[in-house]
Amino acid sequence: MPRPPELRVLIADDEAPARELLKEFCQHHPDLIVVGEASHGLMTVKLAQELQPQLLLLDVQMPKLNGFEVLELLDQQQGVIFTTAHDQYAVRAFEVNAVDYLLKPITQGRFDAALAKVRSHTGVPRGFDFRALVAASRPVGVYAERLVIKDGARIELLSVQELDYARAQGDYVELVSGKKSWLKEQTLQDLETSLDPARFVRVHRSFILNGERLARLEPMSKDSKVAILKTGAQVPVSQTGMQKLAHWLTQLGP
Amino acid sequence: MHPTLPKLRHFLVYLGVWLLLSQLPALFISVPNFDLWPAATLATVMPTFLFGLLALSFYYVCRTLPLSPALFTRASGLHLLMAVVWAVVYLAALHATAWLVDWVSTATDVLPLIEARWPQLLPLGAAFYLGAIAFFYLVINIQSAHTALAEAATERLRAREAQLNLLKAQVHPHFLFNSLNTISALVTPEPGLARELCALLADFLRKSLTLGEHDTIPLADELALAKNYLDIEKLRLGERLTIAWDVAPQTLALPVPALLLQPLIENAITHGVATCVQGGTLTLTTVREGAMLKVRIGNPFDPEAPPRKRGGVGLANVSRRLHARYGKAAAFTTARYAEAFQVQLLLPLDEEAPDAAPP
Repeated sequence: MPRPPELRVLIADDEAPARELLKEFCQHHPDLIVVGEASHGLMTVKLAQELQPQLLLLDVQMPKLNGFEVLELLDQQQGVIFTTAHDQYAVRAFEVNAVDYLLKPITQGRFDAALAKVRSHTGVPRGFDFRALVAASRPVGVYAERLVIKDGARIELLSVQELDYARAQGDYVELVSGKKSWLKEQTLQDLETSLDPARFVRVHRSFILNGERLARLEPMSKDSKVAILKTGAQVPVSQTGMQKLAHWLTQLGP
Repeated sequence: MHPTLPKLRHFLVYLGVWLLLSQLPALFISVPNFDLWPAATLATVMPTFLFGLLALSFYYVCRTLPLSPALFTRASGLHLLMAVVWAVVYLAALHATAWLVDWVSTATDVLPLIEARWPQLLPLGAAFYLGAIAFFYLVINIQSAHTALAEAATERLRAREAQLNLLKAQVHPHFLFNSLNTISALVTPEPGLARELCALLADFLRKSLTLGEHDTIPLADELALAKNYLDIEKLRLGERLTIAWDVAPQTLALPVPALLLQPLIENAITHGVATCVQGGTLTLTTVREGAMLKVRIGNPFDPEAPPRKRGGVGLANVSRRLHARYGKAAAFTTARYAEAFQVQLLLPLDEEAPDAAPP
């Protein structure tokens, strides 16, 4: 009988006993090789890139980066099983997105069942959209306070207050803050839903503007205008973008 | 209308009473010859009714001159003086009306009667004044008693609400599930420790439930619960958590509202030490300063920690609870530094705190 191929596992949890427990569960499966343990989010991303695990056992609440932020920064090649103690939004997000998750306290039986599910599909589950998962994990009316960006080997945390504008660039968005800019693998639509509409306005099919950066508007052509930012940067504003911007400006008033 | 007579019905009753009162001077005048009653009534109705209308202004005098012990001599002196003045004015008004009545109707002769009866009418005017004053003082006292009752009720409601919020927030399910997971993890490698943690968790739950039933508890009990909680967190966080306590022995017996510190300790862990990769030290100092108990809790935190939900709810609850209980006599301050957070509580030890809610 052929043995199942080896599965390289990375365990991420900030509590040592919780990691030990998962290691113990893994020992019951000879084909599982625990290649690393991470005690916080940044370490998880770093180890995942170095060790290329095929399965990630990922805690939601961790220092530095939470489980969702970690997932945003990875290439989505590995299977993921989330572990969480009690987080109604996370659990709802998992259920909606059919991602495997384990509720603490975790038992061997439940661990085995989740593992079997991961084995049945290679890598990421079919149709699994991690961005939808991240969006669903956010309570209604709560918006992103920061954006996580992978800049080569570095990980940048950009506070949304520092974001001047975002621009669609194919499969990426370009995030601009002052003289700096980053590319992030995300659609402008996804970014827009994560940002607070009280601060950010989709002024163009390809642009989201931080309204607080707006200095003035100048006409560009018959149908469109250009927004001049306090930094001097220019952002095109379409006709519908102009309506949204006008609406936003009146909402901001008393 | 009038502050004491909010409804039209009350106002009409008030005027009706004065119309009835006008029969008193009429009675004095006509005794013993009751044939004079109608003419006497004609002379007394208008001045008495007018007195009643003007008496409405006495309310404001009563308002500005409350019958407090400090002002009693002054207030009674003034009112006696005013009673004499108003009695003279009233008598003059009766004279004038009687003269008018006599002038209009030649059949009557009321004026001499009034002149004859002034020894009775003058005290009656004074009595009207004092009666009206007494009425307004009574109304003012009833009104302020009502307001005080309503305020006390709102205050009690607020205190109750804070208590309820506290109970709800007392044992976080997150903490419970994580602890159970830790127990589960320890069972194989360290069964003794697993058993220990079971007992710690049971003690913590038991204490939270029983302490929550009390209004105030000795600080020692509150700190024992915190110690119990931190022992559990220590098993989960290991080396990352260190604790530095500086508890003045003479503070241990001082009364504190039950479970006031617990949410602050939990905040210091979940939003503080647990967010730091290297962990850190939770500091707690208690000291008695005169008639106040000072408690300080400090913790490091990672400014770049992932945003967490429910942040600040615990702090707001503590603040609301203190306000409901002590009013302005207690102080709750928070200080946020680059990588550290500190809360400070100043609790009055005087149980007769001005705004203390009944237990």
